[in-house]
Amino acid sequence: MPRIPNRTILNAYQQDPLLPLLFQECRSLSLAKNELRWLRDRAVQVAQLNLAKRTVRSKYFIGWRGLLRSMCRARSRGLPLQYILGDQPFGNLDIRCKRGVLIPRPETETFTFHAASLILHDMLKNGRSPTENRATCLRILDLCTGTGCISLLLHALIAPHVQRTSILGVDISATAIGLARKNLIYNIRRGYLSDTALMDITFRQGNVLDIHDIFGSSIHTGPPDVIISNPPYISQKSFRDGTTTRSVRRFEPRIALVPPKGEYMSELPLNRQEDIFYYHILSLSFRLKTSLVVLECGDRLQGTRVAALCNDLASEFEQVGNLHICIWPAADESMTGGDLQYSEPCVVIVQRYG
Amino acid sequence: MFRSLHLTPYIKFKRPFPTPHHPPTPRLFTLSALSLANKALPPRLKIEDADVIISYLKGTGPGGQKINKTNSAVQLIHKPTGVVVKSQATRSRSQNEKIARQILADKVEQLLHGDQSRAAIKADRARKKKASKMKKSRRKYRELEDGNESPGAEEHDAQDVNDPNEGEALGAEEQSPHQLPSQQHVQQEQK
Repeated sequence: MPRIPNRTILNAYQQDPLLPLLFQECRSLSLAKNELRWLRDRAVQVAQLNLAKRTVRSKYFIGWRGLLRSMCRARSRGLPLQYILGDQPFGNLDIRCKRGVLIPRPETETFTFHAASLILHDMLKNGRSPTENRATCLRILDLCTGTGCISLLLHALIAPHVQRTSILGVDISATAIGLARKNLIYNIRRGYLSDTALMDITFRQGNVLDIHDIFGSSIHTGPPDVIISNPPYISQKSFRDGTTTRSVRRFEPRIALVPPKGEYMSELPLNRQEDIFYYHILSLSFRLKTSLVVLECGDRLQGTRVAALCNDLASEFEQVGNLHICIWPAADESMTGGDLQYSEPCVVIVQRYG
Repeated sequence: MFRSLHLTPYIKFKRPFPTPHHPPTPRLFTLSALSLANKALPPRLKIEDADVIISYLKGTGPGGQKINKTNSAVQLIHKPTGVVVKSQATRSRSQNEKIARQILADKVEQLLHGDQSRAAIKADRARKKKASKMKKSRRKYRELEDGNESPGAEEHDAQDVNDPNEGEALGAEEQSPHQLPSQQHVQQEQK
């Protein structure tokens, strides 16, 4: 990480004495200013709430300036902004965030929008749905759901256009499932989600790597039409070598970032540990004859590896039908930052016809 | 004690939020401002989705789970005119996009219609409103000054006027007190 020149820090200090604190994490003046503005807005809001509750007289009362200062100090230690503020906008929703659960990323937001448009245009409008009765009730399985952001946003985008939807979110962490349920109720109460979401969306604790566990759960609601997932995809190496930032390494749960070592690896035809989730999800999708699979990958190399893995697996299972595998967003040579583009996350989309 | 009382209006003013104990007093609007606002603005220019390139600032290297980005800036490029607009006002990407679209519509319209565009008319109205407000306040202070001066001036004038007249008045008065009792005496005597 390049050192920030003293002149820049001094300049920032003259604008606001709290800016140098934020510089430690933001590394740029415009971002630091933005974060300071968001933090100040929240501090004022919280102080106002305290004032309304008439806790002013108690000795634990802190004014908004004190609150803001402590927030900035926490941020300078690397605590993610979303954990300090307690929420993160995701599409039109507001997702609560809490220590121990991965924060929704803006890339995931883009991918979810794309997945929703795929579902609406390709599957329903063109009548590519494999069986007739499936069109009436759309079943979506969201594996490694975390805060439940993908499930909730998909419901918000799709439910108005489909007769019935049923979305199941699965995660191994009990904290994540608790938070996802809280997010569901919170967003309904705020009016961002329709009331039917309470019936349509369910969250359940389960291990994606344990095939019996996950297979049993999906049978319960019927085979899904769509599987979407943002599984842990960071390799041990890139978790340690500095590609993963300090803030993520220290404060976000490792279980949501790096796939576990051990017994899951031994019998699989894989040589990379970070891909094991994709193996399990893809083989599950072939077993259940899912018509659309959307998988988020860390970079384009991993995307091509997953696409190849999908081809290998397809030959093992019979009656897979016509598969269309693609990586989105498509590699674009004309775009600026050619090399950098390959290190950006992407999604592998597997569509199955007939 | 008096000092603290004296400072209270300033403290109230510096508070960043209105407290429940001190609700803001309702503002009074004059008729002229209302009539100006009543005229409908021309409708906002509708920009086709096909003409806009949306970029979420790509080419910035690794992201996803590895990095927790708080910056969700949205950049819009209007293909036919080449206008570029960027917004990073809020943390929400969709909100930023909405804001950027509004700014883009205003900019493109200004480019196309010039003085007849919505933004230009809006700015023009704001300027006129401000000018009339300034004029009013100037008039008010002038009247206040005049008002303050005139009572003082009247008193002063009255004294000034009295002073030169005093000679005559005194002269006139000197006669009357002498006259009056004499008249009274005459009247009493007549009775």
